[in-house]
This record gives sequence, C-alpha cells and structure tokens, in this order.
Amino acid sequence: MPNTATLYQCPACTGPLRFDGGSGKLACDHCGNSYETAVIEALAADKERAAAAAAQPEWATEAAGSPWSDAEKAGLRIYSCPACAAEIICDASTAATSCAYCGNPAVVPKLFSGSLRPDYVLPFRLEKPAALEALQKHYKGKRFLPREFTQQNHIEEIRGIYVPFWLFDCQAEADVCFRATRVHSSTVRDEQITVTEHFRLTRGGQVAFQKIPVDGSTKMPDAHMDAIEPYDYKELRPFSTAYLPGFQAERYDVDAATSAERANVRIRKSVEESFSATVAGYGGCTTEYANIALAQGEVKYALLPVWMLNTRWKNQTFTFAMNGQTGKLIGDLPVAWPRVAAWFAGIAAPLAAVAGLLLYLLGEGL
Amino acid sequence: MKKTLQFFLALALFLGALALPALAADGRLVIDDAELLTSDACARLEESAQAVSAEYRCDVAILTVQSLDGWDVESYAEQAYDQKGFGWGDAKDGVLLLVSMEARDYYILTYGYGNTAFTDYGKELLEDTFLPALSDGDYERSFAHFIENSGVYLDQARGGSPVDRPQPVPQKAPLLTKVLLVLLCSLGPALIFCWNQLSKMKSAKPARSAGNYIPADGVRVIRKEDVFLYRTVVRHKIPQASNNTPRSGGIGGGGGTTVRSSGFSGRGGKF
Repeated sequence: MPNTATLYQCPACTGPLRFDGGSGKLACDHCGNSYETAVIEALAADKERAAAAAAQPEWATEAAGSPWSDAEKAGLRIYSCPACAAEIICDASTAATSCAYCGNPAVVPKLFSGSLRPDYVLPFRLEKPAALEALQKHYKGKRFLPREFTQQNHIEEIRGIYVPFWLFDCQAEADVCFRATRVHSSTVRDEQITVTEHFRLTRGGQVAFQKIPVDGSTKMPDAHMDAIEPYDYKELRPFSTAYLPGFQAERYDVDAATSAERANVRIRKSVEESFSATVAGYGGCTTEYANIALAQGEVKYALLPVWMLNTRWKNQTFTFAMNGQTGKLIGDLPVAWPRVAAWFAGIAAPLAAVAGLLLYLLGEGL
Repeated sequence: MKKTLQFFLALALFLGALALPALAADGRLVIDDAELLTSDACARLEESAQAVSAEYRCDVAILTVQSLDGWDVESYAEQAYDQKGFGWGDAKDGVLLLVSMEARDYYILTYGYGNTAFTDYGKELLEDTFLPALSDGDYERSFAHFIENSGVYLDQARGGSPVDRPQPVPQKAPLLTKVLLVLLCSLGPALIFCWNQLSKMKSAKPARSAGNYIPADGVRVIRKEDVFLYRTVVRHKIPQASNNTPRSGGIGGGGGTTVRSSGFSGRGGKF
C-alpha cells in the first residue's frame, strides 16, 4: 500500500504536526502552537513556489535590432583593435585613430559586415568641453586625491562613443511572499515577556518596466555604465546613421539573451522593493520568494551617448564615463594614502587632546 | 464576703503572673527580672538610660529574664516592648536589649526612630561593644556599654548620618577606560570623516534595482493577504536590586534597616 501521508512541519520549531480532531487544527506537540490546515497547506505550497521562483523569466529577444540596409553598410567603416578586440563602427567621414577603450593607436580598418542595426539612438546633447568641465568638477572636494594627479595628469583622449545597450520593456506579473514579525514586550512582576508574532504576507500584482538599459559591451565596465544612468528617453530617436558623424559606435559583443540576466536581477529587486513598500505595521520583513513572470517582455537595441575619458597615472589607467545626455560623470579616483593618514591624524590628535583635557578636568569624579 | 474578695484578689494576681511580660514597667528602662544586677547597679544603669533617652527622645531600654516561656526571642522581645510600655512618645521610638538566661539569648529590638538610628549594620557593630562583657558575665559593664554606645548611635543619627555600612566610594575609572574613551572620542570622528571621503573616490557602482524605469502608475498590487502563523514567547527574569524592603534610615550602598511588617527590626544571638 503506497504511503500517501504528507509530513507537515511546524513553522515555529520544525517539529511534526498532527491533526487535532477536537480543535480541527494541526497541532505541534513540541512547542504547543496550532495552525489552521489552510495556513500549513499554503506554507507547503510556498516552498514549491520558492523553488519555481528560481526559474528566470523569458524574453522575446529576437525582435531586438534589424538588418542593415546596403546603403547604410556602404556608409560605415569598422575598426578592429588587435589589443582588446573591440570593434568600433564609424561613418565613412570619421576615422578612428586609436581604440576608444584601451587607447591602442594601431586600430585596423575592416569592411563593415554583420551585426544588427540598432532600433534607437539617443543623440549626444553635450560636447567635449562639457566632459572636461565635468571632470574638473569631479575632482573638486576630493580631499584624498593626489595633488600630482590633478596637476600632472592629462586626459590622453576623450571620445564620444555610442555604446550599445539592450533596452528591456516588460510588464512583470509577480507573486511575492514575505515573512514578517510583530514584537510586543511587557513586564509582569519580575519577568520581561517578549512575544513575537510571525506572519505570512503575500502580495500579487503587476509592475511595469520601461527600457531598463543593459550595456551590450564587454569593453565597457558594467559599474561605469550603470552609474551614469538614467537617460531621458524622451529624446530617443529611431536609429539613423545621421547621428554618427564625429562619434564612434561600438558593436555589441554581449547578446540580448545574455544581457537579460542583469535585467532580471534588477527587475526582481525592484518588484520586491515595490511590493514590500505596501507592507506596513510590522517590525521585520524578509522576502520568502518572488515569483515573476513577464508579460509583453520585449527587448530593443539602442545606442546611447557616452563620453569616455581615459588617463594614465603611475602606470595605472583611470577611466571616466560621462552620460552624453545628462552630463553625469563617474569614475574611480586614485587615493593619496599619506593624505588620508595626515587628515586622520589631523582630526584625531586635536580631538584626543581636547578629550584628554576634558577628562582631566572632570576626571576627579571619574 | 471577705473570702470572696480574697479569692478574686488571688485570681487576679495569678493571672497577672501568667501574663507576658509580667507587669507594666512604670516608666523604668532597666528591668532586671533575671536578677543579674545588684540594686545599685540597676539604679546606675537606669539613671544613665533615662539620661540618654531624654536627650535623644528615644528610649534605650534593657530587659533581663530567666526564661522566654517557650516563645522565640524575637516574638518575646516584641511582646515585651509593647507590654512594658517601652518607646518614647506616641511614636514609641526606642531600642531594647533583651537578655534571656535560659538559653543565653540576647536580642536588640528597635522601633520607630530606633529603626533609623540603629541600622542592620549598626546593630551588628553595637553587638561588639557589649557582647564580650555579657559573655563574661559582667552584666553591669555590658549594659553600661550598650547604653553608652546607643547614645553615640543616636547622636550620629541626629546629625543626619546614622551608623551604617560605609557607602561605596565611587571608584575612579581605570586608566584603560580613560584611554579607550579618549580613543573613541578622537578616532571615531576621524574614521567617519575618512570613510566618507574615501567613499567619494569610488563612484562607479553597479545598479541593483530598476526603480528608475517604473512609470508613475507602474505598480499595481491586486492581491494582498496577511496571515498570522504563530507566536513565540521569551521570558527573562529581571534581576532584583535587593531583598531588603522596606527600608528606613538607610544611606544606600547595601546599608539600611530591614523592618518587619510589625514595624520592629532586630538582631540577636547567643552570648
């Protein structure tokens, strides 16, 4: 005879539960808690849903981009960098003299071929002087920046690059389950009694996302590209090679399906944050699982404007990226550790003297 | 008729003899029922007890008995204090030294202001002043010491500081604590400043969420359910500060007087 019994565990102590005929509930003999059968069934189902939540949502990536026309191909050039394998697309009037990423001057021109034609392009709004100005502003207020870096350092090259991005649009259908607690504390005679109530909270609904950008370039550091977000998509235009003269465009080397993984992580996090914002009146809240299915999940291919500034200092390359539309500039800076030590000592020493003096003056009672 | 009168007189005397303690003291403060003292010694002690009591408006009394008649020394002392009419004024302020020869018990009993002037610790010290002579059988000297030192105790209490366990002297913070305090006050702000400045040097950070790409009406919560699962209860015993309640006349630091619900406090033993 097959054993069809399901072993239900107590959510409080993981002890086995038994059905109590008197109360009609599932009771735990270990901790004394009892539960409605519907609650325990829902918790058992949660485990299955949590396992299913690991599955990644599907994206219709085939609609991203389109084939180039022959006329467009004829007006474009491609330059390949033998050092870092970057492939840069320029229009026939723009010559790439060095690699936009590694600075290698020996870029090799090739006949344009393959790859997808972008769906959109976001034209550059800011020019090169704006990038230099933003960099000087970026240096300001950085007390640990080596003085020599700002004095001796010269930006080797500033390039306006159309960086390939995949834009992810979707309506996320989500079921999110949280565990939350409420804690009450009271004092009875000589005892402090802390009662923690545990709740299962479920939220279901939809969250719409519009054009989450994920760069399709291995050459572009992901952190740099994420940090210069967001872009104002009101200025997004259907792609035309007319926006390319004077700038370089990189050909994507990470396809949409691969880039979707980064989009999924951000979507999952945002869905959890959006739904947890509807949880009120509880002390602690943790996510048990988030089941997310995508409706109308589509991907578009776009070129977004980025000013790249590279400089070398003490045999180290420092890369700065500026949003070519909004002017937001980011980039890690070198740290002058002697200055850190000097500032640390400069703050700590006088404070120690003052604290010591105060302790001495008030010290008779201490 | 004469016989009936004699019978009632005899009965009254008999019942009176059974009563505990035997008779009212008539304002005497030194009652030597055990006959340990000569009449002269008793008179001298009475005189000094009266003097001390009058000066501090708090009776200092001595009662010696042969037997406790089956009572425990504490209860006997309380009964005797009431029955003998010890205690100054309406508040019945006083201290009584009871000595019973049967099992060589002694007991110091205090009431009212006596509880303030004779703290638990004070009684302990007071014992040392009369107990050696009491053990040696030198009763007059022992009782004289008791009266004399009771005066000293009452005098100190009048000055606002009854004899009590010494207040713990506030200890100076050890050097290590001071050093740690100085380090905390100086290194803390320096660390916060440096950490804040260092964080500005690194601005390329990956994005974790996509909140910027949710339109204004992009979040629609359709299903919402909050279900109570279970509760857990944790109990912690709150440590008690002290078992001595209530107190009077104490000056803290483990001192004070343990007063019983009857209003008496006391301390005794064997001599």
